[in-house]
Amino acid sequence: MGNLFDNVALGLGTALSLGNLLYCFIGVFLGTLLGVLPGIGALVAISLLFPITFHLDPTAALVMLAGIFYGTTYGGSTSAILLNVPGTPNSAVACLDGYPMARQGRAGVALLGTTIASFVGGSFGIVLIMLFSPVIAEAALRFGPAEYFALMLLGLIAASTISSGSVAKGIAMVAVGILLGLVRADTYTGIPRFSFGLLDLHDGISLVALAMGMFGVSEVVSSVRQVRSGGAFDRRSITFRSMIPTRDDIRRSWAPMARGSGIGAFFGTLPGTGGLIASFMSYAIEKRISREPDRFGNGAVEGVVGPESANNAADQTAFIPTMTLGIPGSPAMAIILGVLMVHGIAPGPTLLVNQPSLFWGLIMSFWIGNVMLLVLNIPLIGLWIRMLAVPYHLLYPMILMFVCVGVYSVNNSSFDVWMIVLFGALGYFMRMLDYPPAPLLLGFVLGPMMEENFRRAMLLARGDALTFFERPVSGTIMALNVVLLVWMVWSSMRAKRPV
Amino acid sequence: MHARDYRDVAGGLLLAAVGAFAAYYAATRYDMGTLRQVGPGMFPAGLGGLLVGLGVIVAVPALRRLPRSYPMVEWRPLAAVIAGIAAFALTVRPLGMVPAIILLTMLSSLADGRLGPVRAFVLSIVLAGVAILVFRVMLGTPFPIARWPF
Repeated sequence: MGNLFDNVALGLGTALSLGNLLYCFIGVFLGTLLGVLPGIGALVAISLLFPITFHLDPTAALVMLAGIFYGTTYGGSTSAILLNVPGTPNSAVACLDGYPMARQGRAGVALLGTTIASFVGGSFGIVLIMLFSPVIAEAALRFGPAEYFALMLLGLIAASTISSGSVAKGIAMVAVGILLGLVRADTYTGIPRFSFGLLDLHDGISLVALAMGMFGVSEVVSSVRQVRSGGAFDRRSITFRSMIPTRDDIRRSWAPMARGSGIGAFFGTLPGTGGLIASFMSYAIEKRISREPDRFGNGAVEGVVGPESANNAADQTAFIPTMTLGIPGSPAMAIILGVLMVHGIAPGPTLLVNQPSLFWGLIMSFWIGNVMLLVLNIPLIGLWIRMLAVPYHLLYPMILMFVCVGVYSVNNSSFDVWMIVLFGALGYFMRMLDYPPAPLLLGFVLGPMMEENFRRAMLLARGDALTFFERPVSGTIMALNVVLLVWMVWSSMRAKRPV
Repeated sequence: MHARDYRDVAGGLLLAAVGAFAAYYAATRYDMGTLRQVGPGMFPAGLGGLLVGLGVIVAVPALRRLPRSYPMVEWRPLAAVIAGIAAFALTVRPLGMVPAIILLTMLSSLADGRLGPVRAFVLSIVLAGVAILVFRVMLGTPFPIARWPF
């Protein structure tokens, strides 16, 4: 796999090509833009732009989508600080102390702080990817189908139980997702399953239509009456001079940033956790160890920069399991994985060996993208603030246009547009009934791979289902699965409020 | 008659029904195979069975529980957005992109009604221009801009 320097050189060669630089810029620019706007999170942003990647080569497609993904995190804190409305769900923590800082006339310092913290956290995450991805991929090359099945199960159980309220509902959504993923011709026998005679379903349900309907459309429907952008604040108060932090701000910031980066990097790699949990964790820890906990909630700069670096570190390390094992931990990562599969690239540890320029090019583009974001967010902050004044009733028809034209343009198929209708309505009612959509998408992407690995493992073990428990690596992971499941069920029983 | 958590009861029963259907359909139509040679029916049938169990787990406790506070279903935005997308799906092939986007925008702008018909029409023309610029000119997707179906 070569040494790190060769890989960096290879990656920079790819990432610095004119086309990839351009797509990286488009990605981080749109990411910041969509992140700033309330009501559009990373997932909606990614699924909006997903159809466009069908027209690009896979490296450019990944570079752009990844840029959108981590770009939204940079932008999300802006509206949290200025309007007390998180631009993306993950930047909710930035409201707690960012908005009070803005009320005290220190919005400039908070905006600069979150940008620097984002950069620090992001950089730490990228360094970890560079160091650990080759090691993990090399270990994973020895995995057989039993190990993969166990790992995918771990990913799905964790993703469906940790973040959602009800364990049963989360797992049920995974099962529904897998069933939807199985709608296509069976790999072994060629029998079209659950296609109900519809020729359009022989190649499976379109991931774009599913993601856009479930996240884009249902998000629009539930935001129309809720999101009120264009809040009142003095735009001219954000000047460069107002951004200059005091010596006290700097002294208070560096340690929370370092701790936040570590916390974020850890939670980013775990399935089902990611930026939101990492940032809340970082906030809680900073408050706990602070000598002046009363400052928190009243505009403490520590409470802004710590979580923000955690959020961004998690964004980057989320790519580790996705790219090295082919196992996405969040819906956004599932879509990134979908891009690979759409371009006919098998995700997993062989990716590093077979597509080194894609992998290292993507990682190096993270550096370039983060530097671009630093530039975009400090001198151009005025532009994003102006964007906040665009009212949602002009915005959502545009989102819907991109959803419809985007999905249609992939295959010139109006059937796929009907699928948006179906999944849009389904996603909305799932929201109303408190069923989480994220596990469904993960199950949809992982389902077919899981079945294939299950069938191969059973074939290799001559029909002995104990193989999943007897092989050392897969057995360990299966034990973890059982522990996780039991623990989640137990803690949800304990958490039940007496009615 | 006590108030019950009907949304969870309904949701759980729906899950169980979907699971039962999937399991039945897979078991009767597709070969289950053997443990050694797993057939195309085994995995979906197993998942269907799992869903039935989970549906029951969701529904039964909800029978003896007071309703929680759920968000209200917003019928108007839902209907407007769905109608807009459906109109797009119906018209994009026979009429072309521009009429389809106009219909989509006009119908979906009824979701909150803050945009009058005139302004919605202007917006729809702008959006059609954006769509042609981004998808046709920049990305080179071949789709007819407008066509006469007769």
